[in-house]
Amino acid sequence: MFARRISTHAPLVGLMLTLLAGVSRAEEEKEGMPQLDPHSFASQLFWLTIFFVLVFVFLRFIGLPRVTAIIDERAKKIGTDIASAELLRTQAAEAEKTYETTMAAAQGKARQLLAETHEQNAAILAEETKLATAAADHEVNQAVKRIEADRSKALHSIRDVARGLAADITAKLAGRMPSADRVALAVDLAAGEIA
Amino acid sequence: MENPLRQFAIHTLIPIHIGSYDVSFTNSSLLMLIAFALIIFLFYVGTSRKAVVPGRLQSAAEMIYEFTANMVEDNAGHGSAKYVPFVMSIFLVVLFGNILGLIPYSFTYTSHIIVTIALALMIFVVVVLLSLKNHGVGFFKMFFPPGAPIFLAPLLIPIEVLSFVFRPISLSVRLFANMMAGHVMLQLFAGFTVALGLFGILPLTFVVLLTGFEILVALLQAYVFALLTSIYLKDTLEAH
Repeated sequence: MFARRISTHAPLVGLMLTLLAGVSRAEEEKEGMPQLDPHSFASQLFWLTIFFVLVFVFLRFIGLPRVTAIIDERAKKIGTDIASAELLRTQAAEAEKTYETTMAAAQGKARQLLAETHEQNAAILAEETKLATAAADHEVNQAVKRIEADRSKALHSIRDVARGLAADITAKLAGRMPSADRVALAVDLAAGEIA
Repeated sequence: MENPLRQFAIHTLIPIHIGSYDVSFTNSSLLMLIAFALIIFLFYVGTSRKAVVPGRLQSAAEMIYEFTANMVEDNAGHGSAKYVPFVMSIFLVVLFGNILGLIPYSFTYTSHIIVTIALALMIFVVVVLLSLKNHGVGFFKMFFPPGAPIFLAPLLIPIEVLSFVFRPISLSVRLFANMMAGHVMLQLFAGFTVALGLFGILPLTFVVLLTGFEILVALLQAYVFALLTSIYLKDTLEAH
């Protein structure tokens, strides 16, 4: 719109300037407006044509393809970078998922293994305990028997000693040796009373 | 004070004659050559590294390309990508002509009406030929706005034809007048600076401001020239 407005006024401005330049040309006969001197037109048109065509050919076939190639290359690079980043991201997500499932499986397995081992250990422990208890009981029984034997043996020897003593004491007191049977009877009676 | 029009004078540097035509290499031709060399430098050396992250020159080349390509796409519409090299050539030739002319003691080839009218007529001819090629006789429909009452045709058609024919004139005179006026103003105020001695500081300040303004005008006029070219090229693609 702005450009359109200029376009409506510019010819007027140009015309006024041309008129002004014409006035100044009228005042100074020697040096007018060089723009209106047709002697230079051929040269200007000739060189403008040459350089414009050169600029156009250069830009069309060399300059702009190089610029667009750079811009396309950049866009492509950014595109592939984003694509590869996306790929890596999905791969990472997948890896994480795999890790998590593996981890969960391993944990489950570990828990199961733990439970199994615990059970086994408990069974072994129970078995061992039973065996050890049996062994200990056996030992205790043996020991009790041995103690019983020793005690009866000790009691016998005490009785023998008592019989001997009684016999000796009686012999000393009565002056004669009592029979072994009576001594034994008397000691057993006394022991029974004591007991 | 020096004649402010003398800066537009053409000086022959290398006399060349082809037949009866004087096609000497002049100061105008030299500036065209410099503009051409700069365009090649910008788009050849600038794009030689092909960096994904561009340097300054490559960035400039890419920005100019994208600016022009977007302008063509926005104004000439769908299928206009093939016109980008043409519009860009015009844009760059005008832009470098305008900008290089602002360097003191150089020359502004776009301040010569013959150059601007040649460019404008070339655009006009290209638009007409491509329109005829693409639309055939349908091209002439663009001189009658669709939907307008038919009894207005005797009024509308001459107006539309006239506005169409005046396109190259307005296009060329706009650029020529802007360039010439700016340079005359600069020269006048620079002349005042010398003439007024100590008080010359005032016109000198103005010259500084005006130079900045002229840089803006140089860019803007190149833009407008290329923009109108894109708008005119739209007619070659879309039937009215």
